[in-house]
Amino acid sequence: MHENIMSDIETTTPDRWIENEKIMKSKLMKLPNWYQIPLINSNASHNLTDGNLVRFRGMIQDMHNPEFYFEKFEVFNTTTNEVKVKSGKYRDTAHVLENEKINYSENLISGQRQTLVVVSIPGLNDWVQQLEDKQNYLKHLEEPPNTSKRLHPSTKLKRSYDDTEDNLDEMEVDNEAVNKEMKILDHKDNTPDVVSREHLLNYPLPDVPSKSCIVKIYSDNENLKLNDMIEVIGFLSVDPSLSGEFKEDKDSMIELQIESSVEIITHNPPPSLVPRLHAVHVQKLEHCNPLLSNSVDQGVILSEANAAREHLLKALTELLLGDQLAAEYLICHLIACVYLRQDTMNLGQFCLNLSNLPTQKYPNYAQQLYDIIKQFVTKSYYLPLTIENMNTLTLLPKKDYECNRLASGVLQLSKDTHLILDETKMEQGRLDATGVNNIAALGKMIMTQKVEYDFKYYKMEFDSDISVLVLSEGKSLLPSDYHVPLKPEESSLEIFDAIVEAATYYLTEDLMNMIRAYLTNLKLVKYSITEDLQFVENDFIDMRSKSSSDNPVTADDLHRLLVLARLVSLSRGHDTLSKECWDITKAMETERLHRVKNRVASTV
Amino acid sequence: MEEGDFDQRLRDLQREYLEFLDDGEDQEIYMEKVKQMIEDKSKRLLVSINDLRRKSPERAKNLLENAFEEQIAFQKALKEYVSSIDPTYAKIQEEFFVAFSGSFGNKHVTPRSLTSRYLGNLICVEGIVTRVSLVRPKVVRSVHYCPVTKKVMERKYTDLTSFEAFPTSAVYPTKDDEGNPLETEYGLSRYKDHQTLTVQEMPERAPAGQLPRSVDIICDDDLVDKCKPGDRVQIVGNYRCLPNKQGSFTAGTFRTILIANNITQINKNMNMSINREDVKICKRLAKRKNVDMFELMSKSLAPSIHGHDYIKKAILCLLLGGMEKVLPNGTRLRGDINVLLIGDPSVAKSQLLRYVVCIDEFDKMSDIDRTAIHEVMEQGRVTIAKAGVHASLNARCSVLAAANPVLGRYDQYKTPMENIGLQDSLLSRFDLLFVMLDIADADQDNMISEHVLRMHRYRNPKEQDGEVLPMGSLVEMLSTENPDNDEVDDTAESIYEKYDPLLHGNTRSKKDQIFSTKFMRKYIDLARLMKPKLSQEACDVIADEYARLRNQDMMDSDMARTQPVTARTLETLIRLSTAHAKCRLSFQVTHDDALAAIQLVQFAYFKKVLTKEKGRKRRASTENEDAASDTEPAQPRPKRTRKTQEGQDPYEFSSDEEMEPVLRAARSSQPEPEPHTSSSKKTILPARLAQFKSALHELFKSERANSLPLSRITKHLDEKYSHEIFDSAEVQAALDSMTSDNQVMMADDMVFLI
Repeated sequence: MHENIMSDIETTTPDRWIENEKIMKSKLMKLPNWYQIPLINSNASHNLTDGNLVRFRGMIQDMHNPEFYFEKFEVFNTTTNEVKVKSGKYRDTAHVLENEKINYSENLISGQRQTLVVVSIPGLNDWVQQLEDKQNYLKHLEEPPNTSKRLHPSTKLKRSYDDTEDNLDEMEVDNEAVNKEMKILDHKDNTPDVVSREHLLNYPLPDVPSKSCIVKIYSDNENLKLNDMIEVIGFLSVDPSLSGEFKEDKDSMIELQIESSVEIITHNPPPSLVPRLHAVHVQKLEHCNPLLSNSVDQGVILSEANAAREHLLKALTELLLGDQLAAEYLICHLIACVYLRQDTMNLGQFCLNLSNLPTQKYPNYAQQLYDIIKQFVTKSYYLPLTIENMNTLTLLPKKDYECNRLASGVLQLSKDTHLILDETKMEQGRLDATGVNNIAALGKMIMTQKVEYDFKYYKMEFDSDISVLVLSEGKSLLPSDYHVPLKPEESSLEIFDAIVEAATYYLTEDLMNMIRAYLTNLKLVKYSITEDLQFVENDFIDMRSKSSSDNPVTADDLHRLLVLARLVSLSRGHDTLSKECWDITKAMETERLHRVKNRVASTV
Repeated sequence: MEEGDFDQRLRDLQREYLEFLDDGEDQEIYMEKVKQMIEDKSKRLLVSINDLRRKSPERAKNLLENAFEEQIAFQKALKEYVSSIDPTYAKIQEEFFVAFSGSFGNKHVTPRSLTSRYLGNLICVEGIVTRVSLVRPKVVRSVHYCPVTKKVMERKYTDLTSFEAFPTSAVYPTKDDEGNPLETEYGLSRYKDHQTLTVQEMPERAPAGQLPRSVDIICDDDLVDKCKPGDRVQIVGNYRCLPNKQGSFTAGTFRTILIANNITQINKNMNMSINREDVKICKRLAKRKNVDMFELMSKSLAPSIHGHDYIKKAILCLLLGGMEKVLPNGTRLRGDINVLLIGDPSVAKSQLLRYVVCIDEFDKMSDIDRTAIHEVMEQGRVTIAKAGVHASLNARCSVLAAANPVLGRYDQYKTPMENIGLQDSLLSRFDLLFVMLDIADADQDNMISEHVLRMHRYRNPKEQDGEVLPMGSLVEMLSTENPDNDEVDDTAESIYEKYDPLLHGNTRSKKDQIFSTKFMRKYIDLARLMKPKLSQEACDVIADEYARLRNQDMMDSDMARTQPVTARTLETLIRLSTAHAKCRLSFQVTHDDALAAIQLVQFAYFKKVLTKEKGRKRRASTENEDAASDTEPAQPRPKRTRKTQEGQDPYEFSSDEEMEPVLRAARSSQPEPEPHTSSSKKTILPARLAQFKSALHELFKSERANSLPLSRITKHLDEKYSHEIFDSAEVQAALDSMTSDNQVMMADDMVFLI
């Protein structure tokens, strides 16, 4: 049965979809998975057919102004005197023939569609991508494209009057997408408005390959926010003439020229580079871990939690040179996410600062540690805090009014992305104004989990949920919620390279997958605190009475304890706070604070 | 539609509009306006939609809905009317324009709410100008000369933005009908200025997590260069669509633009988001007798921070601001209120600060920076830098600063001045200074831990689903169907924050209304506009209080102050009472406002002393009685229905913290009064005296006054001790005894509490 549905879905066109909108949509929803619908992320877009349903997963990077289109309109054929009703829904161009005239005065229904710029999820780690590629591999797309299938009937008709493309014969149309990139590059050389590929893709992270799509959304109630992760199913539109480079120059004496030419090019990038997608279905993604099943079974997750935790703890303890406390904190850090925003308070943020890294012996220790962490988490980014990086990188997104779009910055990340800041890479030097602003932005993001986007005339704060791990020698210059000075064991320190090797043997693919699922699952689990937590209240009162000017205890400390207690409980597979976990939490904090204090004492 | 019909209709409309303009027999408003326009050599007439609606509701309705046709008729009518008044002027000007203002009801939109259903409508849109094009010339009429035929020909041009029905070709003719070449006479041709703008949704109105949207605007003629990027503007215009061409084929999409006819800058101080409904609601709220607006507002400030009521009140005053005065001799008395919070680390200082523009870690600034702040606080503008972060302070801003005590923690055994460690000169510029202490106390800690736990327990349902929060009240209000019929119901809900038992727990009862931030902002904006005047009453109260503070300053050596009492204190009192009056949206600073200000000042100036004494006491004995008043410094303000004759703070006796311990000390350490029998002589037994004192204490407390007529006291005594009546001699003796102990003072049968 599913095969039948699938073939329906595969062969549908915008017109057929509109005819049976409801039926088609329910058919789509009935499918057990959508692997058969080509995923642009895993399949090269030049193998995909214009006007067919495809999928794309990504993060909403920008939102343009809504676009008005003709939802229904009448055309009058001057040769046959026929009147036909057509629709501009799910496509970029109205399919109007040369001898057809649009009736502008009557029976014209206009609609509105949202335009989003969606980029591949920033920081997505290789293992996720590989799993995705495996799941979504479609063999038939690799075959040389079938000319008759690729050339849509309507495309053919359009071509007949499209004189700019007249000289292209069919064969050229086939290869055009492949050659497109070359052509554009050639073309660019002799136009004054040169924009780079990077400019058009507008990806938050530098030097990382990415894909972007312009997604047009027809329903209003999606409640999509900037930086949300979404999966879109929609009709692909890759007509090369959509590129802004084909726009004609207008006579500015009479015609309106509101957009600058660079804006036109930015908003109409070559479809081969940035395909258009007319969405029939948009879905927010809570996570992007391909190992997770669709439904969250809290009981199963919790019961399996402890086993995964044991393995992870073992591996991390070894990698952290025998420091189990640091490993415990690191696990908590890896499963933390912001779970409440109230007024100016955020609860759940867990910026961890691991200091006292053995950089003397292992200058690349931080990087080596990151190489392991990125094997566990779905999204992460490693940012060495070098003077040069700080002075040159764009961390904060900025509205570019010239191109009328949001120019991305490194801190434009979707939720639950792990940002690893390597302070051990910082050398002597001078931060310039950009560098200072970047450091301030990082500090602000860590403290408040908000990123300030620059709109030139004002700043606008956007909530973020980025887990920051700061790796440093001394205490970081950036603020952190939990600072753990590493306490390496001498014996481990000697054989670190061997440990790394052993760890890679120990962490088999199955074990890795278990840990990967564990880390993502725990972010989705619901946790609650019961009403009768007298032991917490009593402990707090007790701590307060012992509070002194050297060791002040405040409400913030209680917040910190409760956040940690939540993660300690969750990581062990409890969805509520018990006395046992509370005591573990307290012991952890006591030991940590003891270390922090002694570290200070030793330096004095 | 037939061409003839269209013209006929247009003529009918034109006649109607002409009638509207020609109001010579009526109020002559528009007659005057048109005359003024001619005098100013202007060609744009500002018409209020409200006036039109009053005179011709149908035209007003059609104008909003079918702007295109109606506007042509209106402009033609205007031209006709102008020519009837001044025919020569009408000839000089090619065109006359009508600009619109007034209430647009649901046609009052933001770039986000501007959907395709407004196409063809006359709308009013608000936002920030983000992009302005160069001013370009646009040809209106070209003149051509044919050297062969020696004829001159003229050609008019219209495009999609003009009101003429059909756009003409954009190309100059180079040949006449017979194919003879034409020369264009550029000097005789007419051009008009033309400019495009982009207006973006104001950031505060964009729903959380979404990017602001924008709309393109076209301005012609006299409207060009009316605004620059960054300006907040309100633009009235005709919303239209233009077919979009993509390459050489029809795209099936169209773009929309707004052809402006009126551009108004939104004054930075006056937030235009306040409309009449808001004002009405605010006024109604302010007038409510049973609720104290000031109290309510201060509670709504940072509701997640527990306690600190007085500080919240002070911050509210800071937000409202006083009144700036420039004396005839040029001296400027600042109107801004500056507040300094000083206290132990992590007592939510910084959190309080997040609500306003402010300087955290004031003590960690260099002296140079601090000196610069001096300047700001008293007059100018300056840029400061801390750790490379530049903070630019505008002239006339309020300063809310927070600092940690000199030694990191507040030392209760040192005077406040020593603890603060800032120069007096700077301190005196702060109107109010609060010391926030972090005292370990079982009850309070329990409350804190409960509060913290509750927050962790709470899960915001919206947050959970990651939904976009609703756009809030503004949009709803803007789209109210009938603008003249104030519908408050839909907005009323959004004024208050929803009560959530899980989040707020039992510390806040359901009746305690907390205003939403949005409403607070609106209300404060509105209140800031008020310019209350000091009433005589208030002046007297303030003057008295000032004198008293000065005295206290001189006399009470053991009572350390947080701040020196100087003439600035007097200014502070005035500013604070003005702010309080603003909060009530009152035009007069009354007696009550002054009292509220005094209350704040007393709390801020002397609180410290008290805590210090208490601290000692707590150590000495287990007396914990004061702890309650310490954690909850603000008891509900009394309703002032009773008339107190004297201007002193009626609160004083009951909870004025510096008085209480002094009194108690006096009571307990009082040496046994001279032994006397209860004769008719002017003596009183110690027991009786104690009875008298407690009764007096009680009375002052219940009356919340610090001066009472003797008759009232005797009456109270009679009621209380009806079984053993105090006779007048006894009363006299008791009062004498108390007078000699410096506890009360008698004058003209009035008993004053000292």
